Amino acid sequence: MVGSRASADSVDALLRLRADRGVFRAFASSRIRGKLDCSAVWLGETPMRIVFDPRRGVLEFRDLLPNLPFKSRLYGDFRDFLKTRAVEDLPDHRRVDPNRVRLRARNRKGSVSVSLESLDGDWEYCVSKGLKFVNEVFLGFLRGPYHEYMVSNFQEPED
Amino acid sequence: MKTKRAIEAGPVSRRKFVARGAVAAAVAAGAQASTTERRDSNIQIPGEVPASLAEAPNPAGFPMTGAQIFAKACKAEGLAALFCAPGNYTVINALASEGIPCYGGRTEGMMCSAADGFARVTGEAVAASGTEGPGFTNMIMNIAAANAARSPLLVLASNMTLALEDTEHAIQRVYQQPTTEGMKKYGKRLINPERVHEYAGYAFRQLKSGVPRPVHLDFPGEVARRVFESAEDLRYYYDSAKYRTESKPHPSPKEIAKAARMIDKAERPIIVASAGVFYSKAWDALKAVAEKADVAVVESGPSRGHFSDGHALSASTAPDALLSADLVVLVGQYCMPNIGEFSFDPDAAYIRIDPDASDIGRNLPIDLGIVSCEKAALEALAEALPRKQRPAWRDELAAARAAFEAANDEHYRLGLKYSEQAGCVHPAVIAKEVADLLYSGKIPKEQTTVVSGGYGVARYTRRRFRAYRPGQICNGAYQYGAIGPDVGYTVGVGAAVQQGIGPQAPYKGGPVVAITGDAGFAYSAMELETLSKYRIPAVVIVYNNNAWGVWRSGVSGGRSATARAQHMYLFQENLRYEKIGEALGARGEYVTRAKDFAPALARSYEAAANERLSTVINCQAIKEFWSARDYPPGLLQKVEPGCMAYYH
Repeated sequence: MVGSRASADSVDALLRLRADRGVFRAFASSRIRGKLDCSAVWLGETPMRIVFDPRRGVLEFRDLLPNLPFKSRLYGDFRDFLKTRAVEDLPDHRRVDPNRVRLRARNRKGSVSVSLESLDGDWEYCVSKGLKFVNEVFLGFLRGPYHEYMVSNFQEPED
Repeated sequence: MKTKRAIEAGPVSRRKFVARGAVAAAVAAGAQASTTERRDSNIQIPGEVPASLAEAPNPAGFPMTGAQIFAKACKAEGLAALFCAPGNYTVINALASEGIPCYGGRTEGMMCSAADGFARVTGEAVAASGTEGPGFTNMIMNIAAANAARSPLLVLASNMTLALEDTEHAIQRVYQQPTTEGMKKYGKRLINPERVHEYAGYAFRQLKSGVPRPVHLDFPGEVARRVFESAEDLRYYYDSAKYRTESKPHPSPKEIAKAARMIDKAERPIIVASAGVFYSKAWDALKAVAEKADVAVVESGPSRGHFSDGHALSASTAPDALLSADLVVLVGQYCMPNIGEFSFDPDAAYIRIDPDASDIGRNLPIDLGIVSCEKAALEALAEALPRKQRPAWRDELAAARAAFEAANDEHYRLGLKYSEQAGCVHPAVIAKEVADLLYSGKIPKEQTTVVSGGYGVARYTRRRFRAYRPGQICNGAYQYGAIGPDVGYTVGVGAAVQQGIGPQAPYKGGPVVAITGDAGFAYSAMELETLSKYRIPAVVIVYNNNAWGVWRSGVSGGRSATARAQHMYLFQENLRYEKIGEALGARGEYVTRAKDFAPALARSYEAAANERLSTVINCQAIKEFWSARDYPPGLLQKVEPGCMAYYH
């Protein structure tokens, strides 16, 4: 399925399902040079950009975390957190199986994107794990000692 | 930043506190010079106060004023208490004569919060009253807080006369009803004296049905003072059974069957038990549902304890487990979060049970909505659910609780270190020591009702406060985020325990413990006098970090930080809030070292339990403890729902 138009259709449908369920408050998708390019209003007011490249089989949450210098403590903590998502101690419903999906973070000039490369073409697993991971970043990891970052970058109330 | 705090020796109190058990040991260990006790003074409770409180009720009979007619209706409806400052004289005097417990305090606003706090830990309808104009407008913030908390609060205020409406004759004229627009369920300026009893019916229909919120009535003199010779002078003058019903909406069997199937099919179901569970007194039904099918329960709302934190299925202190739930059943969640505010999985399904159909589906998408009284729905679910065990889910909850406690212990370890470094008291130390006294010593863990207030300090103490029975925690800042009415809430919560109302009955007369910050204390400190006057025993812990909790916003953390703004966030350092307590008839303790906090707390609890004396414990800290860089973890964030929740 990797490389096929059908895979992009599948990912589009899986994301749209979340919009239909009301998880995303707004959702739009388009195709740009074979890639699926989506915008979802989800965990904050700023639309989240989700890009799927069917050729590479990679789902990317692009520029998920802004203003995060590579050498910052928060980015270091984030990378550590990301690594813990694949450990075997986690129950299956919380774990990203490294044999099925390769979970990565990329920091480009302080803007962090997260990608999931499907290794078995199971797009449902890939999309579900991607959404769960991003959800856990915002509702779990970033609830750590990062109040100032949330206030400055995600309109978190100062109160 | 790391200045050694001055240690001040205070005068030795003549009071001899009886030392007992674990408390005695702590007292003995704590004979340190860094605390002070109440100065001897000639502060006295006037003899008229106990004499007045001992007066038997004197119910009115015809001929009666409008105020007396209204008061009789309130008594018949079981209005649980009145909190007020003088004003609206005919109404508050009539309520007192009818035998409704009444408390008079120092400001209308804080007495309104007292009423709110009372409702939050008893579940009963309660009144607040103030005089027209300034007394009424003093209550606005507090009415708004009660509205956000969905408290059954009856707001009463006098309002001059109809005859001189719009004239600016004399003083204190204001249009009250538009002022409470958006912060009440129902409101009415009473304009027809003959209908005063009827409008009591309007008020209690609202207060005792569906989702509670404040009801606001304003009384012109023509209504309150009008004299009625007999029932024939009144309209709609009949018993409550004729003007309202006790009937509650019950769930459709089909919907219950569907909910039961969804719960049965789920691997990790969780119930969010919120205000509606408390107000419908559904805690037994909730427990039955949880235990029948191993459904986890996490609390939210303005009070806690309708599902014990000590239960193996409790997720209130298991924040990491929330993200594992695959089915969320929201029961009586009146104040609805938006997506991303409650820490649940994006693929979790939602059932919402609520008495108000018009609110189901707001903010969070639902897979099933059930219009019902919470108690009726939970009882039906307990019947319909097949018995099921979910050992893996129980294990996950236990592991998450253990991880949460481990994090708390790590905070405490750091707090001790930082306290030593900075020469003052870190909030993690306060949180741990309070929890140790209330839940791990000889005091029964269900005993003490707590007012969980404050801002920054609350991020630590909420993690440690526990609720083992309904109404054990009043969640101060809930939803409206009013940081400051904490001593006001303490008056109401303390009065509820003093009177032994509703779930507080088994703990009647016991001490209450409150936590607040130095910023918050400023709003409500005068009500220490009310606590002392009524001998409501309370331990009020003030976390004194010399600054507003949002101090970081003016320094480096906010959106618009600037050095020129800093002064607006700061107070004078080392202020002696405990002396305010002493000056108002309470005890005072000033704690500047971590090791002195537990003994001071023990002495204060002892004084509350044995002598019905309140205490202000002023815990000296520094504002820099909120810096995650200098004192990690700094100002903690929260995960909702559960013990940390206060937005929803």
